[in-house]
Amino acid sequence: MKNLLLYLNGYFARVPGQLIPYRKIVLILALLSTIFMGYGASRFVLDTSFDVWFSESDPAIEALDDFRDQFGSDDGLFIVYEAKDGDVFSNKSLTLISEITETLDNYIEISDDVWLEKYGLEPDVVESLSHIKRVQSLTNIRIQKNEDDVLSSPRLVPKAIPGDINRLNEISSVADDQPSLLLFMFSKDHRYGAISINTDFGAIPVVQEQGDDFSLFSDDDWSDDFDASMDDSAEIQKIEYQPDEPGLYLPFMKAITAITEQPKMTEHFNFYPIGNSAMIALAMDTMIQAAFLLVGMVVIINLLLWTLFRSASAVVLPQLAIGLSILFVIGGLSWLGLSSTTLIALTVMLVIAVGVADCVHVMSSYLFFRREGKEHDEALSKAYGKTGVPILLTTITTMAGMSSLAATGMPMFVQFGLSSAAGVFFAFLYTIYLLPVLLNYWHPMQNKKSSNAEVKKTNGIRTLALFLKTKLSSFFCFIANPILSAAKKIGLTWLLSAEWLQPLLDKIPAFVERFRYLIAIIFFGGFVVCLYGATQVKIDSNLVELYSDDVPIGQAYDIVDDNMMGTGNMVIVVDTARSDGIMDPAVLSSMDRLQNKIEDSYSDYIIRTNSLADLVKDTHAIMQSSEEYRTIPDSQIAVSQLLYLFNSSNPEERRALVSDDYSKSHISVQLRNAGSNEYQEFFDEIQKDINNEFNKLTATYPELKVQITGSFALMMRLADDISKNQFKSLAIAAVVISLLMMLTLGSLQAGVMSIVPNLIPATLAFGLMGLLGISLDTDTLMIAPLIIGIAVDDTIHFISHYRMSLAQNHNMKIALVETIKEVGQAVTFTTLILGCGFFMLTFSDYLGLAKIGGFGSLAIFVALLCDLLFFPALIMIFKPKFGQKDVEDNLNFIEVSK
Amino acid sequence: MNKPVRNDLNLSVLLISFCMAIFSLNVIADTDLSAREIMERVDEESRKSTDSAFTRMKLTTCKYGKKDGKIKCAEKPRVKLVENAQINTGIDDKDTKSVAIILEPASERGIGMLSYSYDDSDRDNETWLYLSALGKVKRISVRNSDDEETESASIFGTEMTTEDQESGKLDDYTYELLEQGKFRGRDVAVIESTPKPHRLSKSSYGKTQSWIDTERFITLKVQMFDKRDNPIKKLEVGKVEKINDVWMGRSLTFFNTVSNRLTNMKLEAINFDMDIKEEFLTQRALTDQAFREKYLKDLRKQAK
Repeated sequence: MKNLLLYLNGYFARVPGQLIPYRKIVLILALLSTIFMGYGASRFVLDTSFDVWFSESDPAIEALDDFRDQFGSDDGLFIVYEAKDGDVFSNKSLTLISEITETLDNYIEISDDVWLEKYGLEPDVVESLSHIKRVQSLTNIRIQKNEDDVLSSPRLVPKAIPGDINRLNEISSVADDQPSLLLFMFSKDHRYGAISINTDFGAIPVVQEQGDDFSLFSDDDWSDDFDASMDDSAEIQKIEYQPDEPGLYLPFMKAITAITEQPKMTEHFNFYPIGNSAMIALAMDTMIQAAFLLVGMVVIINLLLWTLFRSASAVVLPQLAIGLSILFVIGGLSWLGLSSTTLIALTVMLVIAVGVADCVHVMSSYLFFRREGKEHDEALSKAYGKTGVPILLTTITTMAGMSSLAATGMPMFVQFGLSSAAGVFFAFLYTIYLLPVLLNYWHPMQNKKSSNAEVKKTNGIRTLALFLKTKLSSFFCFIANPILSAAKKIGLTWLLSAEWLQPLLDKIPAFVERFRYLIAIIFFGGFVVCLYGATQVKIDSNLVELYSDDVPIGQAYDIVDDNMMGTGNMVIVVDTARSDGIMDPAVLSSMDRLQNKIEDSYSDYIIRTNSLADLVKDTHAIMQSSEEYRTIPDSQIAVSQLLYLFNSSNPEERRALVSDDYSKSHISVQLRNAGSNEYQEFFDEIQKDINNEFNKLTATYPELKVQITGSFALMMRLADDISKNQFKSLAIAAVVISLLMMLTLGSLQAGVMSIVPNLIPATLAFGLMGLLGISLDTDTLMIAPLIIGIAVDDTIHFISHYRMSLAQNHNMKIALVETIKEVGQAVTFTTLILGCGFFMLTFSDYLGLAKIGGFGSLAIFVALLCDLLFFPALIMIFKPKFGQKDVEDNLNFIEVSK
Repeated sequence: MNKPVRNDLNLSVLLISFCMAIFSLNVIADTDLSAREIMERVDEESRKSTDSAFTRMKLTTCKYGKKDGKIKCAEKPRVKLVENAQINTGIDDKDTKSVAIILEPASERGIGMLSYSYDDSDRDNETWLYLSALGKVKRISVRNSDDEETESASIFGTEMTTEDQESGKLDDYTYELLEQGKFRGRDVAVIESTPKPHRLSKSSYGKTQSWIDTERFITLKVQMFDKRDNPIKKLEVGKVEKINDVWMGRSLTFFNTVSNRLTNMKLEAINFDMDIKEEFLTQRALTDQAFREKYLKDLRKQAK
């Protein structure tokens, strides 16, 4: 192993010299492959549909598809409004809500000009309202009346909205007597109301395109002798649904918002939209904000690159590394015919981090040798000799970390992990084989008269500092705390002069020696505490908690959970696998009992339930004109006749509740919002109750299946699954990286010693989350391997450099000083660049991203402290020889510095 | 929502007018008429409501598939057999009284509906529903003023909807003659009807295309499209016969091409100008089985 590393050292040192004579060929090859990948990338497809999260054969997805086949879309929009006059039954409230309802119901009648003038909506946005299947509000809902053997279903509120206060009071008290309307259409205190919009989202069938040879007179499969007899072997065309894409929801939400956010509406109401459409519109806003933050991140990285290296080439070349690596990943995916998912954004972030780190290490080392007076060629060769192996090692460990994501087996993670690994590999290729050629043409510290350079340098720094100040002040408009921003500005101005770095690094060995035990205890103690904290981490995804408090969605969910029907829902599908099974009074009674049982037992979660059993009971009471008959009748014929009216009405409504052959039905359950972890337990408990209740029926219905489904329930289960899977892959990554370290460092001792500083940044992030009670959600977990990879990279550079130096000099003191001076600079640079870059993300409203930014930059900075303080302290205490013989282990720095 | 009672219970009237609207396209001899003119004539004819009709129809609904290129039920079909009697009464015979009785399936046997509809818009239409298993009659009140905004409702829970049978309101649509040619061996004109905006918002269809036999003037096929121009339903008319000097199809099949379900409506009997006594069209016809059977037996005898 030792020989291999030395060989590789030599190899990387020779690479620049060997490539320079062929530089034109290298450039042409690079250009050609870039064109090839660029052409591929032009066919880049971004798949934003939700289906990508699931494997097609996932039984839960099949169950949901079956559910949608049978009962239609369960994906609607629920707009809760708060009347500012405190009464949703006031004349003004009703008049305005009636206007919204009418507009949504009759959007087709409104001309394009009116849409444009009144609402500012283009026809293609208005078109999205065609996804509305039904609109229900207080102003168009009907109630059921049963007086003197007369059944009627008048509107709750007459079309001409009364102005008389007594009449309005009468209406509100009639409404109070309608159990089905309370919480669905208005809150108990009449302060909140709701507009319920049913859509076809998620259940939009793909309609077969008519072929080119289509003719109105070409006859089809019709034959006059159709006899309606049954044939089991007849082939039913499978219904396919359009993928659920944000592109469907966004214009829809835009149109709805334009209607509700008219000044006269917002003067009187606060609106709180709930449902997938609202969530996705919000997610899109967040993504746009995230894009701005990413731009900010890139700007900060550029500024720091420029300041630290004072060379345009140091800004441009790393960015070229990032750009080309990303282009190659996207081009590669496109050539393979794979569409990318939104996770490509994370790949981009990783490539930014790795690309910058690789280039900074090479250039920092190159600059180090130039400042020592070496000429360009020699400095370059030495720089590659020093950094080549660590870059190779970090590439391998990061690739291994990302590939471990493939262990989750979830298709989109496999693709994400592998394509990220490829991106890291491309960055490696660029750094090792293209960068030396490019540096040959354009590099920092071009030969100029040094005095001139000095003047320019200081001038340059001043102007840049000024520029940075203005730039930063505009950035910090985001931040509430102006004091913090002022402090930041001062700090960064000071940072700009990078002159502080080498003197500071010079002092480190003596400092560490003096406090080596204290440092070791602090870091190790911190590690142990964080390790404990990490065991306390709760893995939980809560939709609402993913957003910061000032985003209205949180309030909306609270209001709807507290005052209305609740924000979550699930369905319990009852499949008797027999025609008319649902009409069996025994089955209906079981459904009824289950509803009562779960409503009583889980009142913390469940707001209410509804099913065909309720419908039968209601109708029974009405037909018998007595509340005593609010029961399931004993005979199946009576049930069937009670359902007759319902059967004979709108088949879509009936189909939404019970299947055509009455073999399947479902109980819909309205839930309060909670985390995926809590829900998973709750689902498990309910499944037990279901089994207890329905097991009695298995003698009559041997194929009876009763299970929980619904997109909300599925999302919760998915979030839980992802979290647990990701945690697994994370553990695998940690083990794999540690093993690789041991192997490449060539000694168990070195391996073990390197693992602890490596693990500290990672455990710190998780440990803090555990100790602070911040739950680990899907998004944070997704980025965790990435953070660990980046944080670990610097440590690997540090340790491997030390080991190589030890092998060459057989002197711990020299090796440590050299490492701190050379790698310390590069590591500090990359830490500043990436740490500040990631810190930008903490300003996101989307806590998924903010956590990534916060914990990511924390991990990166802590990794730096580990490298500069903890690792030297360990070396001073344990004096490991890393498998070398004849090592001079005098590590007395204090005397020297005196 | 729990809304078993809806405002679309004038089923028996619907059923009869349903047949009329589909079949009375049969009096136009002049093929040079424009699409709009054809439809005007069709509408005129459908308004010549035929008094005193008795029908017996079989409604078969199932999920369908294909076997050897032929449409077949892929599951056990649900069959309803309904008898219906209707007369016109009142001033100028503009009011309607009708009774519909379900014979099959067994679980619904004896369910009956009695409907009185009045031309006077100030007077509410009346429908009585009788559920035989409970032995209860309920009157179902539907305000005329509410009628205009009723959603399209299914007929007996089949794929047929009240909108499919609607006639009149020609000004609500624009018509276009798409093509003329041979279809199933007949000379046919294909006419596309597009609802105007105020109509469109209440309709489940964005447009429909009708294949009209220009010799017998009967609809052979109707293709319905949703508002995004996707074909969603179609109607095929079969077993075309001349009854009471009128060409009509005795087998109508509605295909919901999205859910792959069909409803076949077979007219087992249809007779006009029958001798139907007004005293039969009372609540007694619902509750008194012997009374009802006596009258129905008589009507069945008259019917072909």
